[in-house]
Amino acid sequence: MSMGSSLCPAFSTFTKHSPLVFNRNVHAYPFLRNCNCIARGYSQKTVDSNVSVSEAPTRPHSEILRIRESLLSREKTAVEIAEDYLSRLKERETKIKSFLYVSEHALQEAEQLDKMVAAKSPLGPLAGVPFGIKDNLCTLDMPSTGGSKILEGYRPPFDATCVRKMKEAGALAIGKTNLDEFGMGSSTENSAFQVTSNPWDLSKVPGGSSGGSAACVAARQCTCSLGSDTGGSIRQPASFCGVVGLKPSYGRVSRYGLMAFASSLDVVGCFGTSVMDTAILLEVISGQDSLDATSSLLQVPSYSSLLPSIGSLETKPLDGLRIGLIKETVVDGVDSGVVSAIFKAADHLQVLGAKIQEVSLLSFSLGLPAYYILACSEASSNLARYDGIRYGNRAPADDLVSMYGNSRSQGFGQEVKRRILMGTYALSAGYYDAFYKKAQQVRTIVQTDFKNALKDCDLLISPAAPTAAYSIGEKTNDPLAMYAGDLMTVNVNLAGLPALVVPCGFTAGEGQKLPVGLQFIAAAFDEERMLRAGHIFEQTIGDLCFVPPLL
Amino acid sequence: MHILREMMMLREMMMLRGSSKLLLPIGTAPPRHWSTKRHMQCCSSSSSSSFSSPHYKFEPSDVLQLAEKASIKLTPKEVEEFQPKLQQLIGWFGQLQEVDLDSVLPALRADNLGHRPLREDVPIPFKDRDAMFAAVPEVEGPFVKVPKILKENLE
Repeated sequence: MSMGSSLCPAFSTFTKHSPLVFNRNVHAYPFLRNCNCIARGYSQKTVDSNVSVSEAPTRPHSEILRIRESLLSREKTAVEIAEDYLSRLKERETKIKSFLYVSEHALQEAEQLDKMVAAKSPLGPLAGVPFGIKDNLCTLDMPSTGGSKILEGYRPPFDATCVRKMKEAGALAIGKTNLDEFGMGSSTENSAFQVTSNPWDLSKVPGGSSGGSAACVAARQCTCSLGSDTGGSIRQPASFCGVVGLKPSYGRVSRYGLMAFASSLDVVGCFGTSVMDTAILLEVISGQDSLDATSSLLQVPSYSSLLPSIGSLETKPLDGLRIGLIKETVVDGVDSGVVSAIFKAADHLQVLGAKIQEVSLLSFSLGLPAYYILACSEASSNLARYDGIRYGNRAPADDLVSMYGNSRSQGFGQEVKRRILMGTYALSAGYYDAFYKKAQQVRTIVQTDFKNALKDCDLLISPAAPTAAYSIGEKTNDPLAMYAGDLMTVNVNLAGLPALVVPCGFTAGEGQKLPVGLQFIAAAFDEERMLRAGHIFEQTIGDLCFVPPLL
Repeated sequence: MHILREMMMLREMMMLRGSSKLLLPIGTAPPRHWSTKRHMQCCSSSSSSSFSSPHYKFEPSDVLQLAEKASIKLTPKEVEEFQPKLQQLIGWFGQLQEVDLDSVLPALRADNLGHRPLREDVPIPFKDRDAMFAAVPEVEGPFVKVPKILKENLE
């Protein structure tokens, strides 16, 4: 099977699994209109001759497990897999521009892996999996710019902990992905180097700030990727690009080697084309790290093994699960296509046995300005380190103070400068109580509201963004309009909760249909419950295919 | 040009300190202990929209002052462009003043982590010192080189 076939899942992938239980219970699921089609896909022996390939099941499968199977069965070598991905990466890169740098070592690393396969040495859980790395994560053998001119060409002398763990698990670092400068933006248009396109429609943004990491996975340029999420930077691009995005609990994943933007909010997370893949990744990158004092001491569960195989599912696999739909996220002003996709998704969860109730979070709208005050304040302090002394680019000047001013003036882009100035303002004496302290008080009520909501509900759901992907250039001159797009995600960061975005439907605007993501929010360190619900949701949603048609 | 010892560089030169030195009031600074009630009156009497409170109006000179504190040199064109946008955003921040949160304790971060004992205050030398130094823009021997520090200190 060529890797190219991963674009449209073929029957052969699924025949290894047992038939779907839904085959028997299809009438219990009025929502699953295409259930027959799905069920037939899983038990090919019963496929009747009228089913065409176009009706093949679109259920996302784990690319990571597939690569592992290919390697272990000797169906493919790691070099062949890496070559497949690299050639696709290069071909699509001219249109998508998701990468700032492509590794020169990936094939050599794949060769090493093949030697291990031949020697029957134990393989890491991610052996041969090509992954992209958001460029605000430090990498030893690739430049790390954070999307900023001030770090153009910078080569850190160490790997971020999450990158090191991926490599130790056998994954192949394939390149560094584009982003809004230092993570400050929601469209990846604030990169100092290039604008990334949405693989669903090249005239649209991929979202941001982890736009490159989302786009490269959607375009199948790599299997999965690492990103960071300060106010939605993983979840909103996952929604815009139709991939799965996972933002872990604050403290779950070490941030050593992540270029700090807002330290009370930043988390490292990941993207994949299935919930299973993000669960496998989370398991690899999580855990306490002596180099990050905020990393949690809690044990890391085996997330992937907790996800049920679809063959074993009961009639109502989510029976008894209490899910709250956040009322403030499906109100007027939110795109009607998004709202209708979310309602459909909620219906489906109900069909799976979940109890859906509406939940109101009164602090929701206050969270947005509070988030921006806190994020800008922390950024103004964190970015003081870029001064042209120890690393990064230095502008010429006669004295030190002018050198600071010139280096930062030439090195930072407009949005970064604006945020530093806003943060500087909010932290100024006389304004501190009115802005920074007030925002921290809002953070307290946001945390309390979530805690209370998660007493009555096991999970909360909402859209990941108020719209689907918008046009490149549409919001670049209107910061407030751009910030408003973060309404659905920032509160989760203020509360430090984990959240998962799973593609759930499409909006039909003019031209190309665009994906919509469903956000699941769980209590702190309850990633398991969220991954399980997301996995079952994704595996049963029916005939929606989240592979961009342009590719 | 002065040449400084690298340790001195770390301690002294890196400190831009975005926050702690910002003691200059900007624009029409509100009094330190500013009551919510008073501000709400101010907002309701003169605000043209819910997102722009004139109380936070500031001039291009304030932008320059902020930029100086943040060690960012701005061109006159940037000052002109930033001023209305910053004013708009700071007005938008101002909506929080309309909420009474006096009895609420501020939260520094997510309360996920519980009590975390601090590690011992012991330096851990970085293994690859040469690679770290390779990233320094200007070195001379074992030193990090910077432009002269004080204008008056010319000799």
